[in-house]
Amino acid sequence: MSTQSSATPSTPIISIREVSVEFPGVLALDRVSFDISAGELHAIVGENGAGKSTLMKLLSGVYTRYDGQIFFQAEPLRFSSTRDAERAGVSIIHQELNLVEQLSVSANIFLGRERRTRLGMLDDRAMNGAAAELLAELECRAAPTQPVGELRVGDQQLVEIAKALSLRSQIVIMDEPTSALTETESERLMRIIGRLKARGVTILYISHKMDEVFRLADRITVLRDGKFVSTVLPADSSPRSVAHLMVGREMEDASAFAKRTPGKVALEVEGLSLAWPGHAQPYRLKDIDIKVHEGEVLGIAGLMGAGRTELLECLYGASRLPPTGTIRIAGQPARFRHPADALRAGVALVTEDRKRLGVFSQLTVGQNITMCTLREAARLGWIRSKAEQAQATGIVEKLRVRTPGTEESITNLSGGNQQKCLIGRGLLTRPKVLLLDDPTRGVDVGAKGELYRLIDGLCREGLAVIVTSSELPELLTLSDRILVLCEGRLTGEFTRSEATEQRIMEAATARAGTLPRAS
Amino acid sequence: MKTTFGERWWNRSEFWLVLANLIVYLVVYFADKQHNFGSTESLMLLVTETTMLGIFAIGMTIVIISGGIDLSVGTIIAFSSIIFTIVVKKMVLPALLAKGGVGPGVLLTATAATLSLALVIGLFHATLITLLKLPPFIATLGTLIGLRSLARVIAQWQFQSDKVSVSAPEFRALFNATWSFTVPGIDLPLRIRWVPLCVFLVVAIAAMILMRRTVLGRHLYALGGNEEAARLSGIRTDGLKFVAYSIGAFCAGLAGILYAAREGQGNSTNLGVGYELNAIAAAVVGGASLRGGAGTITGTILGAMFLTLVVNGIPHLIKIDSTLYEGIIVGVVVILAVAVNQLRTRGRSR
Ligand SMILES: Nc1ncnc2c1ncn2[C@@H]1O[C@H](COP(=O)(O)OP(=O)(O)OP(=O)(O)O)[C@@H](O)[C@H]1O
Ligand SMILES: [Mg+2]
Repeated sequence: MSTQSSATPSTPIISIREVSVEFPGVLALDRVSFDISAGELHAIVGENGAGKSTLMKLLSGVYTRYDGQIFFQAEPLRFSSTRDAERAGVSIIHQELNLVEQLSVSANIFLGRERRTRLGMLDDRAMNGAAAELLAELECRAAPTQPVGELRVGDQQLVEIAKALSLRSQIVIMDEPTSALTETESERLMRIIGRLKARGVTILYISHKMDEVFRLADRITVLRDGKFVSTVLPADSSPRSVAHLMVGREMEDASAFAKRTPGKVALEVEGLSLAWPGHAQPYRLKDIDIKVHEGEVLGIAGLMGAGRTELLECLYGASRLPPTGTIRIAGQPARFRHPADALRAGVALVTEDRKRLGVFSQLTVGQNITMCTLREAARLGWIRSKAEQAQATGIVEKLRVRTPGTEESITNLSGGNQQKCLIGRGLLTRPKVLLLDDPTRGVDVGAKGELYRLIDGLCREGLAVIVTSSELPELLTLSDRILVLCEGRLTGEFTRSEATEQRIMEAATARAGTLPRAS
Repeated sequence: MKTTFGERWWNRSEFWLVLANLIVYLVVYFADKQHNFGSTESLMLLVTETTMLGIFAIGMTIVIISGGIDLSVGTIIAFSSIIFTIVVKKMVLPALLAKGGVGPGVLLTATAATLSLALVIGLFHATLITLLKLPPFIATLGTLIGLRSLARVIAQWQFQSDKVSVSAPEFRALFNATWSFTVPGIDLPLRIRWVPLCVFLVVAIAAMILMRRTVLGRHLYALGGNEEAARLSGIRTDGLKFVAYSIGAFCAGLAGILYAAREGQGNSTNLGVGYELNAIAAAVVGGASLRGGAGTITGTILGAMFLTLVVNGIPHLIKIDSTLYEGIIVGVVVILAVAVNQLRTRGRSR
């Protein structure tokens, strides 16, 4: 992808001028001005809470109240709704996906713009056909008639992209599209983005992954604390200097941890299997043996659908069907029927799907953080506000959650800051074994570094950590050992010194195609 | 930017409900030439009806906050009235029934028996919902239909009638006992029926403490807000449902006892018909969300007051055939109240 092609052409497709947005207690955007050129891929980067999503929501008509002006092709425009923006050719793929889970893929793609037959009935045949075409173009294996709720996040996102395609949008906004994807799915997305660009679509791209940004972007705009910092060309810049612009201070290198020395076995799994009734592949997990020691970080790699989440759920007593095999915590056999049992035994899980499985959207930041440990802040079931407050502020300070206060509604926090709250919820249980399912999804570079250091520190105090990640570099940084899952079986084990991205990917795809596939 | 005290109030739906209550009251008071809406009698009626509705609407609110719904409330009221009167009648010799045989011991035993049965009904609902995974709507719909008939069967079997009456004055005093007093500075004498008021106050305070100050309450909000996340946070969601539906049925049972005392009879056929909808309306006007996870006890109490004011105000405004229009007016007003509340909160987040 060329970097000079569209450096500064004469007419920008979008001009943002002196735009400010204020929420109670936060100035989310503070007199931001910059231009976006037609046909470019413009990356927007910044820390969690810098205002990236807010800006995108203005451009796509989600938020309608702001000061300042936005010009589309030199015309001042103010959208009054998302429908308005769609009509003007702007689509957004939100950070938190916006799909109706019960409806089918094609119904979601054509939601609000359903095709009709001459008699005014829904023309399912036409919609399914069109949807199938779009999905094929996006290399998505989902069927148009499948309910969206059954799809993995990666495919759900493609449904959103298919929607943007079907609208023939000239401007497509992607808010952290790869944060929930595995490497292969990200690769697929990169190819799709390439194709969109070839068609002349302008793309606004938010990501916390610097390698992606530098690979894709024609220009990069940095926001910090709601303010515009600068727009740079990738050729004149480096991931390090961009990170520096984002944070506003020099960052320590998080990857060089001193060697940790593992202690006793904290968790031991033998012959763990989880059935998958009614599927061509009759198990989700098969004959898994795992050992994790105190003070050790065990990484679990694997493609989406390989069973990473299912494995963690089994260890946490959260799987729908009980797994077979034995699990021992510190030598004691454990059979968890409910996550409450696991928590009592010192096993905590930070879930992968923040919106569906983590956040209580009607509760405050503080209430979300203390959800697992409220009993400890209570006497005879009676909550002592001071003790609860202490738990919440402790986490907010330790993890540097950016929020006006613990009384703020959690949905008013930026995505990355919500994630920090959920990690804090797990940490408060003072676990012996901490299960992290893709914990840094949507967390900015600075905060990631802090989190890695925090995990390292806890490990040195004797915590055992099992972590999965959609980013291999993250696993390589964090883990002492990496296990690779493929279609429910362990297909590789690497120590820190043996592990490379190449070897892990090979193990992760080792069995693909050799086993009957779930249809 | 700090939110000021004024702004905090402005954003609370309770503030708007208090205002709405005041407006309805004053409109009716001044529209009625004789100002009957401010009479001793009228005020006593308003307080009593608010408290009666409040008692079972609070139970309903807790169920709604936990993400469920309880359609059986009206039927439980009828069923409890029958059980309560039957136990009273069985415990007192017929000869004594009219002559002071209904002592506190009898009333307490009957109350205990009735409330235990109400609890059993709540547990039954929770069992259907957790074990058989029935949707709450269906589980309680079954009771809505079936329990009234069961109440009739029991009444017929014991006393060969759909209604079981107890006319003893001590029995009726359970509802009717009044207490008169005057507030210094106001020359209007005031009277209240103190038993329902006290029951209501105890229920309301207990519920407020439960929902605001206890772990159990917080977990109920969590359950209603995101059940799967609650389970993954180590909350025993099935157990919580037992708590919620038991509270709902228990409150309805309490109301049933008081209604039996008011009528002087247990009534299996036409007592409590449609009351579940009044309770839902009170909760929703008070800010509860039928999707669960949101709502307050204070809101529901103000919602119950609002509904009572509207219903009782109508005959003061429309002198002829007021019952003819009652449904229309109440329906419109409920929808308006909820819509205004929705628009107000939506305007804030955008
Ligand atoms: N609806 C809202 N009400 C109040 N505050 C809000 C609201 N939406 C966002 N904010 C605040 O505005 C700021 C910017 O949020 P925004 O979501 O734009 O951040 P972001 O740059 O997208 O971060 P992330 O990388 O974590 O997604 C944050 O401090 C956030 O708490
Ligand atoms: Mg964001």
